[in-house]
Amino acid sequence: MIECTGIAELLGAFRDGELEPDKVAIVARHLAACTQCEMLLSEICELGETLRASAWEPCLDGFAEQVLSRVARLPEPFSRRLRRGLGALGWSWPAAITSASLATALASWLVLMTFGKPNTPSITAAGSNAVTEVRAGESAAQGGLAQALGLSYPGPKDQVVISRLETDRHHVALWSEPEGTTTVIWLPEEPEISE
Amino acid sequence: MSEKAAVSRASMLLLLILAAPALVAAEPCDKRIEIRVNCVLAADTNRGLDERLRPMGGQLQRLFRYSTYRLVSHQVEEAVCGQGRAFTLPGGRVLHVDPQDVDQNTIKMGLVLFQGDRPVMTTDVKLLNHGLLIIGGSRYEEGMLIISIQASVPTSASPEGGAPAPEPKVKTSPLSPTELVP
Repeated sequence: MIECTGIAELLGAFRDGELEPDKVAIVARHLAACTQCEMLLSEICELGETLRASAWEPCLDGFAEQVLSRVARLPEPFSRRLRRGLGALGWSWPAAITSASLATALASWLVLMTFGKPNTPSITAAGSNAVTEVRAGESAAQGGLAQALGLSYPGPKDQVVISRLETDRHHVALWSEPEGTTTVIWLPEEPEISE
Repeated sequence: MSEKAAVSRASMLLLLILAAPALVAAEPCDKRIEIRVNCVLAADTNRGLDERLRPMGGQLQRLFRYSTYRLVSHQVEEAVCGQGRAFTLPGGRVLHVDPQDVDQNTIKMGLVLFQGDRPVMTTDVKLLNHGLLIIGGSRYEEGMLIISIQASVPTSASPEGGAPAPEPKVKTSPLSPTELVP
């Protein structure tokens, strides 16, 4: 026969119905013959009931309804709304895509027509010198190589606009007459190296 | 209206709208543009100003500080937009001028300067009508070569449409000073 110590270790699980069937049978047979272990089981049961009574259980009345109402209040996904809207208009996806492209193209065209060509400076490939957009008429400075690549000055008026300048020379100078309409691009040749 | 018909109509409209900027851009510019290209040798040899350069002598002195300015060549050609012109310059150089657009008081051009068959400089420039662009820095003889490019739209001869492309007119030096600067 199993000792009471071994049975006592199984009583908690026995009460909770968590024992294997063969062990349930052993514990039950032992309890039938052992008042001490039966009393211990009664104490465990009382302790369990006391603990359960002291635990707070949230009220779940109306819980499901609340969850469903909150789900109903969530914003509908865009794709579903779009599909529903298109369905209401009797449109299909191809028609919708075509219309969206149409609207985008129209908007782009209007922007281009309104603001002119976008000011996108061009950059030359590596190995070349490049001056992006320079409004030479804005330059009030006089000549010299100091007016090097990429200078742009705020000035009173636009005259000459150099939107692209590519050269294989290592230095480029740009200047213009302050009040004139003359602009100079100076491309000094590299000095010849005598061997 | 059936769905297929709606889609095809929308697609056609889309194509038209997408093509519109290209159609606008492709609008021919048929204004005649006069291109003057002068080549000047600038050096520090104390020989003064070439008599033929007298009208622009002050400008040359303001822009550069050489003691000698000598006109080497002078060429005038006419072109319309999209009609490139090649100018043969001293020292085996060639200047390609490609007028691209005339807008109000500006002339947009593409320029490529060749040294032999090698492009030395490529630029896109928008000049004021009668504005002057000077390209310099290349060695020539005992000094520097200064290339002045002037583009202008003749006001008396600017047909608004249907003008045939003009035959190129070329003048070379010697010439009178008044021919250099309009």
